[in-house]
Amino acid sequence: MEGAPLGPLFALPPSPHYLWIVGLAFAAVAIVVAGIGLVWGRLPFGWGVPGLVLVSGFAYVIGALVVLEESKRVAFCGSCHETMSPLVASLDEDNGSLASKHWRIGAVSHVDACFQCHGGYGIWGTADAKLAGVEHMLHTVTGRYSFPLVARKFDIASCLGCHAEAAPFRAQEAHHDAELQQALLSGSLGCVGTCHAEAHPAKALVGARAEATGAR
Amino acid sequence: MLRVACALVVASQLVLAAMLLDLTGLRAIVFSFVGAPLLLAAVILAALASWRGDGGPRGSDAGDGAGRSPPPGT
Repeated sequence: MEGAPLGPLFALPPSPHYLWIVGLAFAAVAIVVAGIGLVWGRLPFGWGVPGLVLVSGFAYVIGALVVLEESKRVAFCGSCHETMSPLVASLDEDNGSLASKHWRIGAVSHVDACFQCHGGYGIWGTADAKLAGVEHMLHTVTGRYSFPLVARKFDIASCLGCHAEAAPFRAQEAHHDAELQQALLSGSLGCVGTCHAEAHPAKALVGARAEATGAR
Repeated sequence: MLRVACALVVASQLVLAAMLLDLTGLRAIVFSFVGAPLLLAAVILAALASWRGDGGPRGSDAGDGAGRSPPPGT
């Protein structure tokens, strides 16, 4: 996934956040206090039950914030091996898909490319993306998903957020058609699969196992 | 009851720590669907324990009887 390093001139500045360390510290305190409570049958250091509940609960709130933030990363999406890893791997391939094109020319961030396109636009786009993430987790737990994967909903504002003001986009004659614009905005028509290439190659939508079998 | 609550807190925090150290989809799922219910159960049990005077400094006193009013005549 990562190319050869080009040197300090082309290295992106690091943007780490240390929230996870705070969460880990609170979790450690909660574990020590609850561990002693488990052995002794009472809480140490004058801790009351509310103190233990507050510290352990606060650690979980931080954990939830970390998940909300870090789940935007491409590496997080790709960590669901069976479903998502072929999609993430296909980004590097020159396969003509829209995702691959955007990825390879650097039109989307290599840190959170999945989120940039699938997250929708604006604050409600982010909220929708998080709800969709919970749905993905439920599908994974219950096994209620099937291949090939199909995006049931895609917010076209993700495309327009970047392209709508671009000169090449505005110069394109087809984009001036009022009916087409209406169809796109109403969601009855999408950019991909009609005028533009598929978002992802078909072989990446069938899951890791099927892809491996097909590759043999 | 307090011991059970503490055991659940430890389990939930271990799930959280594992996720914070290496965030993957699987660990996020365990955090959401195992760790959070464990913590919720722990909070309910701890609240019950607290209500019954079974935990904390008062609870520790209650455990050995030192915090209670002496029985009449002693």
